[in-house]
Amino acid sequence: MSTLVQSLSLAGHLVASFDPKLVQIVALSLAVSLAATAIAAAVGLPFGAAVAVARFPGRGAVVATLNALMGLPPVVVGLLVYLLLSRAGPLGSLGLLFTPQAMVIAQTILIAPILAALARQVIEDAWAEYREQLASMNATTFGSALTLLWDTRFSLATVLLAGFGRAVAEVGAVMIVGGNIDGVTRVMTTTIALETSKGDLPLALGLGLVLIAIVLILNFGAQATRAWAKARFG
Amino acid sequence: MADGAPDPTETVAARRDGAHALVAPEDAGLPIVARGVAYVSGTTAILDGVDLDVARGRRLLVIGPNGSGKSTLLRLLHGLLPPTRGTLRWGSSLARPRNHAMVFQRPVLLRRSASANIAYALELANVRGAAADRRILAALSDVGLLGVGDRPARVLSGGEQQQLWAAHQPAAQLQQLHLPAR
Repeated sequence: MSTLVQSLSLAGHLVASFDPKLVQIVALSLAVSLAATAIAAAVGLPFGAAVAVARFPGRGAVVATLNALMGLPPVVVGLLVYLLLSRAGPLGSLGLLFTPQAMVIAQTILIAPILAALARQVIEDAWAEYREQLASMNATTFGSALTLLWDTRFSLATVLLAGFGRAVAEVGAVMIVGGNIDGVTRVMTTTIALETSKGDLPLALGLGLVLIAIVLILNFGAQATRAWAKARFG
Repeated sequence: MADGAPDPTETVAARRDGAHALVAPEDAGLPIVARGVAYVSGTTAILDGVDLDVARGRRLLVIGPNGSGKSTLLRLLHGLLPPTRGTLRWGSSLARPRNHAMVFQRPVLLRRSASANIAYALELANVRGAAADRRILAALSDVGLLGVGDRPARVLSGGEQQQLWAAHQPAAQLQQLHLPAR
């Protein structure tokens, strides 16, 4: 019990004093996961919108596949990206393995299906509501998809947060493709795993506190934004 | 009518075999001609054997009990639903014209300002810039919503939302308006 209290106390001190090592790890985590979320959003949200409003043969299979990919195991994604980026792999010449860029690629692959699948659901629900009126105004399928992306922006913000939350909290993929190199590819989750195994609990706990705080702040922010948007825009 | 002019309003009972003919010039997607139109939803025949001509310059009322297919008929005439059987023709075309519109019983307005909602309809009608601004003001003025143009459309009252939706249509200079039953 005393070890836990002592570790928590030290962890609180590390966080409160903006320990440089802790700050560096948190900053890299945020940078990698924000980049992955941005890239995944650029791909996933338009794709989800297109699947929501378009009708084409095999659409059911696409929707089912998207939904299934939401549960992609991070270690499998990490392994696939590792094989792609390893020296003998097809993209080995790029020299990206064990770099933050490799971690961004892995997290992007991990969360793009999540963003696409959730966006598809959000936009398809809106499409059921808007479809006739947009058709009545002669909106094209492409134009309708863009309109719905904008009109569901507050719901999609929550989708983005879900994707970011998944990215920043995963450990398997970034551990494999990043290598957990001190000062280079060490992020919050991989550091927590490593420091715990080494018995250095204060840093692990400090990073855990920061991680939980980030997730909580994001979710409260999302909820507040949605409440504000509902009141402001209906 | 007092001046002896013909009543421009025609009333058609929504019958499954209903038929009514009016004569009108053939332009602007008019007349709308339905021949042998049927609509089946699942296993339920909602309309069958509808022959109907909707002419330019006349008002047409479609009346009937709940479930008789009035709204479905409007959607068919507006081209929102394809008939299960039969043919629909708008003027000389088999494609729905872009200058027809429909006022929905429960309009769904976009999550943007009242003005921006009208601007969206105008943009789809290729009206932009200063011309669009003029039409937006005129449309809002016509329906008595000039003071609420900057307010989010979805926070307007139900009546104001219907007025705003109706304002989309003249703003885009449409030729034919399908109004819903209440």
